[in-house]
Amino acid sequence: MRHSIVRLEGVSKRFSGREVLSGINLEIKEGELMTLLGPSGAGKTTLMRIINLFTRPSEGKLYFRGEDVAKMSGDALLEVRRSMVMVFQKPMMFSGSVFDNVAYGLKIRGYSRAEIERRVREALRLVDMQDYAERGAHTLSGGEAQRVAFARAVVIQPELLLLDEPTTSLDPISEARVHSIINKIKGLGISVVLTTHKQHEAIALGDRVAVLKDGKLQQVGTPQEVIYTPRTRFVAEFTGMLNIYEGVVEESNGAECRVRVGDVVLSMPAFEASRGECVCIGIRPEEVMLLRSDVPLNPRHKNVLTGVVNEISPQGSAMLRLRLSRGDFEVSADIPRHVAEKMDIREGSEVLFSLKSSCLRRLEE
Amino acid sequence: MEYLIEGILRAVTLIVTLDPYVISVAKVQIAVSTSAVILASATAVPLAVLFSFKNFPLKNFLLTLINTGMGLPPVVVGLVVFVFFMRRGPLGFLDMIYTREIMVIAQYILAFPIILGVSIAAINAVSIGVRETAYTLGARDREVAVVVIKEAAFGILTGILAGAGRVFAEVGAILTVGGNIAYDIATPEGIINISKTRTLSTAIPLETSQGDIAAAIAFGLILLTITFVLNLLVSFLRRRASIEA
Repeated sequence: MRHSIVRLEGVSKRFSGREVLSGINLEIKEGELMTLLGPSGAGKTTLMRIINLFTRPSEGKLYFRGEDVAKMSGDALLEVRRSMVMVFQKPMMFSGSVFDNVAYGLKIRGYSRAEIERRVREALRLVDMQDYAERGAHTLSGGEAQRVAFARAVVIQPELLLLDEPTTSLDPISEARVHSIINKIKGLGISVVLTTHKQHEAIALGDRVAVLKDGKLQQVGTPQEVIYTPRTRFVAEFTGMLNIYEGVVEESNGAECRVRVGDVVLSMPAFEASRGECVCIGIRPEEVMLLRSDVPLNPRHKNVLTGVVNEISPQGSAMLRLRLSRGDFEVSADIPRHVAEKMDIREGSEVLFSLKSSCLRRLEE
Repeated sequence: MEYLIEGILRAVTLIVTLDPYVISVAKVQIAVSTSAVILASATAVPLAVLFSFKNFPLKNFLLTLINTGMGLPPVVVGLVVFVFFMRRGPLGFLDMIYTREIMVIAQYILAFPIILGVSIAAINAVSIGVRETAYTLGARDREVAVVVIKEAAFGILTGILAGAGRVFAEVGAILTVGGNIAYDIATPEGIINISKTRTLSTAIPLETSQGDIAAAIAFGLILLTITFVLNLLVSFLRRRASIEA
């Protein structure tokens, strides 16, 4: 069992009457990297600032290693503060050299000069900035400053590192570089909370992903859970579930549910619902299968439909995204490029496809 | 025209030969004005930090007062100080009228709001991000303040130099409280005049009215040099600050 580093219990925050966070329950465990995923204005930064003790929650409690932070003061509070550090979206450099900047946290903690020298060099090597130690910090580019800010934070060996939108203002190359630095930091056993509005980043980096919308946690889970079993429509949309439908339950028994969407009836795993109830259901584009029309249908394929390819767009180098329609019913399907080539699929082709029954999921609004 | 050239030549001679009277006047000026600036800086800079870090009622009103203080008429300051310290005044028992100490007090009052006002502006200009960075890296309040002062150093120094420029240039306050006094002492070389509370700026109108144009020009040259050097420093720091930013 991993120990908890930070635990938020029913945390809400209001700024002049406006609720920015409400009822947040969240636990960050030792050594894990948690990504906080949400659109801008969801309350991600406010949540980080509460954890880093910049602001107090309006309601609820913050525990650090099991102790209520609100009951601490003086040296105990300073010690908590000093065991975590935040890197801001736009890092601010102090005037002076890169070395001075990275050394700052160690200096105020009273480390010896030799120890500071050793640790600063090591931290600069971690972010691949070892040749910049003597450079003026104000002469750095945005990406370089970002990396120095990482070194400046990691050098104090915090228990918890808070990274606020570390890649939002970076180009793709710098972003990839930052991702590899974050993975190295994870390797040091430091717990990390990272905010982002990019789902691919949240999923690629996070051990767990917490999805935040309008100040409320929508779902917390492993990347797999969040992607393949999104709880709400928002999580589904935000993590790339492109096919979301509103339908009416036609039949529900212990084994399966049948949901009518327009003039299409879809079979899916059973869920709690009564006949005639309006529900929201969804399926990811990579879970839509194209079937060959020249071979007999396998009976285990359900939800088989014929449709027309309206649009083909590349998804990276290996995949294609097809926009299929059958009357008013539209579906996005991601299929490997070589499959599309073998099946000779082009815009206007008629195809047979299946919405894999077990992959259809009900979503809360 | 001829006597002007002659005046300048004699003035230069007075300076290069280190004429005891001229030197004593310059010394009083430098001692009084520098002391005032040092004292004003030592009090105004920490106060500026407090002022921009803390929120309290009437803060904006107080800021307006400080800004008004930056433009106080020196003569009026001299008068107010004089009234407080005159024999019948509330601080009369200190018996400080016509001393260098009271001149320091008057100039302190002139320099203080300038240094305070400019320092507050410089500290406020340091981005909130700098404070928060220091905070998240584990700095205590005091350590955050040190970081902010360092970042605002050029601005604060500009404020100090502006304060110095003001006190070196003013006549009204030190004339009113200091009395522009010099006295004669006997030396082997003869009787010479030595300043007690006479400064470069107060000596100029006196020497002019007494017809000693050469002495007045000598004082003027020294004073000009001092203010020139101060302004040179200010513009140098401005350039440095704008490069840093």
